[in-house]
Amino acid sequence: MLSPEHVRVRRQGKELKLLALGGELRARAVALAEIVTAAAQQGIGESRDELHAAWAQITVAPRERKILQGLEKLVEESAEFEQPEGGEAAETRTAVFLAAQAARKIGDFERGRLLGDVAAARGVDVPALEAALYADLRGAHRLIRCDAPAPEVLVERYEHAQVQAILLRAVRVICNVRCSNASRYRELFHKLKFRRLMHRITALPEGGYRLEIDGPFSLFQSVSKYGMELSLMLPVLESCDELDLVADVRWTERSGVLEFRHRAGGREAPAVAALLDDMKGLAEALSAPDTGWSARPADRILNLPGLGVCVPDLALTRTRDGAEVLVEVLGYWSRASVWKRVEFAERGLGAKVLFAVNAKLRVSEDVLDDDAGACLYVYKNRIVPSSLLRRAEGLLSW
Amino acid sequence: MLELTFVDGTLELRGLDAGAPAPPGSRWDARSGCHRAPALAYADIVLALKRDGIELEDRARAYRELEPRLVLRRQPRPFQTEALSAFRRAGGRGVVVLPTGAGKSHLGVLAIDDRRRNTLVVAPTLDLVRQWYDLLRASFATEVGVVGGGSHDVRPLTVTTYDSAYLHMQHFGARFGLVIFDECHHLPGSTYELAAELCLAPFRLGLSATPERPDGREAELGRLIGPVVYRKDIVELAGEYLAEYETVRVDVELDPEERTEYEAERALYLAFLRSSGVRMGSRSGWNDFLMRASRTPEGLRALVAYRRQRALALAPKAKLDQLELLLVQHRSERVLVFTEDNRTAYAVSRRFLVPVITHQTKVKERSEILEHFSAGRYGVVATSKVLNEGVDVPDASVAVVISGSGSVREHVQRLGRVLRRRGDKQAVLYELVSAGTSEEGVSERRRAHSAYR
Repeated sequence: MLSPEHVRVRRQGKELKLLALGGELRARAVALAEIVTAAAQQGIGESRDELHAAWAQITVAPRERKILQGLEKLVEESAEFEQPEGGEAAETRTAVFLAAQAARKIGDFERGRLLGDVAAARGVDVPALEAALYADLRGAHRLIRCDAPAPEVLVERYEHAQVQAILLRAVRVICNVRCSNASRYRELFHKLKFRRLMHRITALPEGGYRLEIDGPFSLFQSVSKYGMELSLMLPVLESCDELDLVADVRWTERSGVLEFRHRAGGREAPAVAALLDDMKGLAEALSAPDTGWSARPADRILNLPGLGVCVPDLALTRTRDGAEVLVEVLGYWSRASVWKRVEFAERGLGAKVLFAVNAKLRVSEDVLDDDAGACLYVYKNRIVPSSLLRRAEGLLSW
Repeated sequence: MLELTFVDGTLELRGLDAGAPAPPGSRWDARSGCHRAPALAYADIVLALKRDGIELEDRARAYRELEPRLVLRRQPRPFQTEALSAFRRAGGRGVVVLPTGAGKSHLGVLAIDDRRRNTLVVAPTLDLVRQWYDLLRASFATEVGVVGGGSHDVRPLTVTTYDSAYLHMQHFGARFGLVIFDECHHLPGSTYELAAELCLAPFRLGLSATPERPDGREAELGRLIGPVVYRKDIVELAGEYLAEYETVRVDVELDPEERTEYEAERALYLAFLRSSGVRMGSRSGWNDFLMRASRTPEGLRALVAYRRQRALALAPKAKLDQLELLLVQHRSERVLVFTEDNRTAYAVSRRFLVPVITHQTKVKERSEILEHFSAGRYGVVATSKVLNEGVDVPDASVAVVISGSGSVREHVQRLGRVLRRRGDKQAVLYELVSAGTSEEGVSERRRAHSAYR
């Protein structure tokens, strides 16, 4: 991931804009990508410090400097370095330093002789001993592989990585997203939940959703504490068919909060399992032959105008009559989210929904009336499939 | 009845209407339909509601009375007793300023025993975390939790770094009734101060030898921790509670080749400053220089020139030659060698075959080095900035500052490393300064403290 220092931006009023890489500058960026990659490929077998020294020889115009540094960062991330076990170098150091101190104490410290004695005792020559002394330092790691992509692709990656780097300083993100299928929305909303970001989801009249994303503390201060989480959301947001994003960014201490806009969509989705592992295990247990139920990932999103949306995790189907109960696992996420579900249920969800809530949230199952069309299942340590199904049966009996 | 809960470093207060007067520090949050406040406001909210006779179900507080008892009771020094009384009088919220080596950690232990609440200690480095861990384990004879450096073990007594506190306070900020910010001058700032904001601990103790910051943000300590409740300076304690010491400035000369290069590079750098109108002495001087330098090839060359002349002033050959003499002179004593950068620290290590501690040194190796140093198996340890603060090296009596910043705090702390009293120890701090270079001015700035009599 790039850091904000690698990003080429300009400020226009209250807006932060990425500088476009077009025309001559783009051609120059591609040429730089080729040089940076070639230096890395030629440097296989050399140390990280030597690779950096080789890159330091590349001369660029001032306006190309950030491009060069960003490309170097991306190539370094695509490279593999041999990282010797620290133990061996540390052990060598201890032997040398203890011997040096013993000699110094009696006024008999002579560097060359001492190194010769220690090297002989260890069966190596002096240059090898000196090289081994700090072989575990990051700068001494040997480059063994470089898988940088073609120069044009590397430049595209640089452009995209800049957006993510800007979001590292985001204090709030508002975006409109549109997807062609519900499962993509589910992945997106689950990712938001997983990252513990505060979000308000509103269905848009023309289709799609508007997301307002920040953190609890954002109410008091524009903090970039949630920047990493917001930045990590970008690939998922960009996997929507359409994304229109506006981020409030605290770019520098002095700049105040600036607005950054980004439009994208249809990028390849990051690999996301259809169900998280624990959810998968739960679905399997609920679908066991003797339960009389089957479970699958839910594909419905329940929209409550003015309130938000509810994104169930599982859809349970009773085998004998095909009746359906949706399950959303809230775990021990937050009490606020439980109260929100209660509010949803009171307004009418349009489906039978069971909310599984960890007892740590100290919420009583009684907060929802029997005829609410939804119920809470409060579990202690783990969700017990039979208990959950008993409540699902109860829910269908109303 | 109102209900207060801790949610990700904030407090959610339910049961009040949107239009109702908001309790201290809180405001209506339409996102969740409740009042919300930074966790820092916990004590104020609880006290205000209590004062107004409003019933509250407090689900936020997740800390308890501390069960382990203090088993290792050292006789506090008079000034430690005074400091503890001052902390108590301030309602268990305040900053205590004591010089390095005066026993601030011991005061922390006394405060924990006094408040008897689950306690989190926040320290700036992993070495200090390790030191607090050892101290608390021995003092309370109980397991102590550590968060940071690859560990995540939260217990009634837990030690963490500022970095980890910033990252994780939103998760465990309700589990401690007392939080101790060691070297608390690190706290004010746009990131670390969130560690204090996201924690609900009603009792807060800040410890520092030098709370003043170049940016003046020490004023924030009052809000984040509490006011300065007690203060003693080095000169007030030297001799009786700290080792006697002297500071020696040693001027060294650049060799002719270095001098020529230094003058040429400096001239280039200064010419750029003049032509671009950048005033390095101003508050934004460095940023202005970087910004202007990055715009033209001449600027980039000036940046290289700046770095080169600085490197020549900080680490000319003569400094290492001088260090060699000092190491011979003090060969039977424990010597700490401080540098401004890692490169010089490693150069010292390679040339004199002495161990070095930098941020790249793994915790296990750091512990081994300090153990060997304490036992006398190592007589010299080189370091860049890692040992500047707090790390307890009671046996060190000689500090050699090869290079450093202009920070008074850094210099005072480096001196503090050798001040811990042990027998009739006479401590000495050597400061090596390149004569006729910009380092002379840096030296003047960092010595602007009463400790450099």
